[in-house]
Amino acid sequence: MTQFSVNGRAVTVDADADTPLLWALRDSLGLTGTKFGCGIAACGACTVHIDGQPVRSCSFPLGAVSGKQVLTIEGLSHDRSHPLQKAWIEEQVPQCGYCQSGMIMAAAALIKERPHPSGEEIDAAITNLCRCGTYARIRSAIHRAARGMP
Amino acid sequence: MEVATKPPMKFEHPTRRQVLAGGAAALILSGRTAAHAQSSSGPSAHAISAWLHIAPDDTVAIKLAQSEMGQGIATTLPLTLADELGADWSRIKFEWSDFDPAFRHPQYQWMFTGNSESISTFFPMMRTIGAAAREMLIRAAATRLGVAEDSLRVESGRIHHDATKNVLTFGTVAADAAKLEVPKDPKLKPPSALRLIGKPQPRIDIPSKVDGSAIFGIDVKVPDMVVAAIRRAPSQGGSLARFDAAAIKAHRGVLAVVEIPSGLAVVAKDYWTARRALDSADLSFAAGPIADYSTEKQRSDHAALLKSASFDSRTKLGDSDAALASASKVFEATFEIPVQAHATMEPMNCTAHVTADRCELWIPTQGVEITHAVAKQMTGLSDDQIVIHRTFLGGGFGRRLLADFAQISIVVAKAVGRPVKVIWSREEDFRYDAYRPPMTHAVTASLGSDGLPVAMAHRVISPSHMLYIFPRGIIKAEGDWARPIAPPPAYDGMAVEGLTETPYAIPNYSVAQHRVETPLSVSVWRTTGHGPNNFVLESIIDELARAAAQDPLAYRLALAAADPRAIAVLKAVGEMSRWQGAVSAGRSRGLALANAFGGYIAQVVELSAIGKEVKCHRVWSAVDIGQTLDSGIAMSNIEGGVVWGLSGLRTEATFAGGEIQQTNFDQFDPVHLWETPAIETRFIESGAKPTGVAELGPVPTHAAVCNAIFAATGERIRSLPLSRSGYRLT
Repeated sequence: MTQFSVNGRAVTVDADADTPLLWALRDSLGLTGTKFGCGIAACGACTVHIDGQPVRSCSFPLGAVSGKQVLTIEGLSHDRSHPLQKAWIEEQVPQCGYCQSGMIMAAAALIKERPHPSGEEIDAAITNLCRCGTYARIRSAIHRAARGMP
Repeated sequence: MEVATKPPMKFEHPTRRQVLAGGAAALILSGRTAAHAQSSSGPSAHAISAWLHIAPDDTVAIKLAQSEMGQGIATTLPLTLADELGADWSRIKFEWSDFDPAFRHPQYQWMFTGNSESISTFFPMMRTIGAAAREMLIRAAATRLGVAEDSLRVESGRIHHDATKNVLTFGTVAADAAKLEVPKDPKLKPPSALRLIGKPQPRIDIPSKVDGSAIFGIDVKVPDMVVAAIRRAPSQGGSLARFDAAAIKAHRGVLAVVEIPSGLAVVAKDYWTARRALDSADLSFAAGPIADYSTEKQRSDHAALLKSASFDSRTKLGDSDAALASASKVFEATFEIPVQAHATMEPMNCTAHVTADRCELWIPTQGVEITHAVAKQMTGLSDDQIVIHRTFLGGGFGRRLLADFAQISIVVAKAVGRPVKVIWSREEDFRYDAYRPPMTHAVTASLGSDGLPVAMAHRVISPSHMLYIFPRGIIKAEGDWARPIAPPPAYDGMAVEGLTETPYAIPNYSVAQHRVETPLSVSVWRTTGHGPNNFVLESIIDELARAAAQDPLAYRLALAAADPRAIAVLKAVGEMSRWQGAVSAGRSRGLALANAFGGYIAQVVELSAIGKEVKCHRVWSAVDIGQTLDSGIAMSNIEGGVVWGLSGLRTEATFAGGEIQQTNFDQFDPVHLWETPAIETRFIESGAKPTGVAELGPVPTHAAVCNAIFAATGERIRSLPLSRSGYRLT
């Protein structure tokens, strides 16, 4: 049994403590917006926030989130109103879309820390993979969202 | 980018029941069947009712029959139909289609999504279906109102009679319209009357892809469903020699252990329970038929074949043999194209439920009909007992044209007797990919006194790219669908496409192919044969331009003088990149031209090479896809395509002892955000037939980059990826 908070809601998951957080989110909690891509923390499709920090949940054990706050793509906003979600729509970023939850969560962690990131800071922070190659628009969308940041 | 209209209503994943419920009095003409289709250009009644439903409550529902894997087709095709119909785009309902003959590619009579053909084939079909339905609605409204058809006007789902200010909605006349004859030759709207086509539109799928609600195959959840993890022999076709089922079943939560071709599936209530039990299982595998396959052996085999094999002529203009024999200087080069993995971000998966009288699949597939056929053959059920539920695809790139991942799920579903979602690990996805096959090319050429080539001869060693996706052999000729059926040579022009027809006028020109089969399972890979062949052609053209001491752009303009579309994209990319201007210190440029998938693209890459570290800074593309139906979607395809092209310069699938040596993204390393250059794209409206754009962007990228590396270093790269020459893309 692991108790923690997901998107502001207290949850208890009955799974072994070494179960990756990704599968607890997807299978136990039904939050399938977070994706499985590689299982070795290489691609970033499974990126969520734990206490505000971006984490690749496929390689993060459930037991280690006990008592912590987890934020997934479903909790970023209720109505696609997060500045990044709006920018993602305005820039028409996603293609297949599979990596985009992880991309947005990685970007959300970045602009929380650096509301007006430089190109170099974006390059350094967004290390997720996208096989469709939406990177140029991801850059534009982060800059667009940053323009609306205080 | 700015968008022209508001996004349409929410995307819905209908059940079969919902589709039927709306149908009672809708514009459904399915009393007649495809067999009654008219022979004229007009659509059949069956086709109209398959693609379009108009319900009495004015709901207009359009089927998504082409798979959405990122290319934007789920927006452009319904939008085309809606525009021609005159429907209110903001109120369209979208529904994934099942298999139906009405959704077949009209030329191949086969339902699939690939080869960048959705626009070239279905754009005209959507227009005629929209136009025919509009004319039927107008006719029904004219009868109802007792007025002439030509006094009526359609706008946003309403039929207006301006003189009397009468207005009828589509829904009120749909049932009457359904009883009418389908017009044989529906009149398409003039371009000035089109409201949506030709303007960038917000994609219908994007809102669901920014909040995690889009359903991919891996996200499917059905009542009573269980989940399976699989592991198979590390070399394709090997077999499971030994396993301890009891020990695996002893793991808490494991429900079943099922043997599958070459391996094992472990079934549990959730994925990780199954995966952990499988990972800890002591499995031993016997090597299969490809245990001696290696990249090294493939390369030496191909090299030997270049010397000894017989070649079939595919194109012959003039007499290249004689011209080369009499030339004072002959240029010779050999090029090697590596095996590539697709590595879609969403690993292969499929959910299946098989009962005595029904087989339901939930599957992210490009190959709806092959999946349907495989399910039918494996279950012995009839056509209408097979139900295929579609989802978004987390990447396709040609991988999801196959039905092997459906096959595995059906095997497991039959064994467990309840719905089961089989999720491949990333490692399984790499090991049991259907790879882009390796190719080896030898080119010889000679120049005339003007420096332009007078002779060029290509010899191509290539396996079939279509071995496993070739539908006729799989369905009609063979009982065992899983056995690869080689298409006859006439059906696999992919190995030489892009060479057999070029924009260049070379008086003595020949292309010959030796078809060698690979023991790997293979499929087409984004760019198909065009990518590899363009790398060869545009590398050698660049080399000849340099040998003739001519500017590579001017050289191509001279050689392609008779092809106005080629000239237009070359001139445009020359302007965009200021090709004639000075290049910043430390930077170099390369150019390539391609005519592929019905379109044209000229691309310039600017890079710097410090030692063997190559950094791409900028990429300019001038693109002619005939008519750009949606410049926003088209541009995103080119941008992504450039990244795909760059990734292919760095990745390769190598083999030793029959096993792939890259089984995850720590070893297979596509381009990341920080390696992505600035990308600038311009579309040229040539007025040619609209054609697909998804695979065009990466076609010239390999040659453009390698030509720029030559400009920087003086070294010609003829074997990919770049690492074979010691270069690294950073």
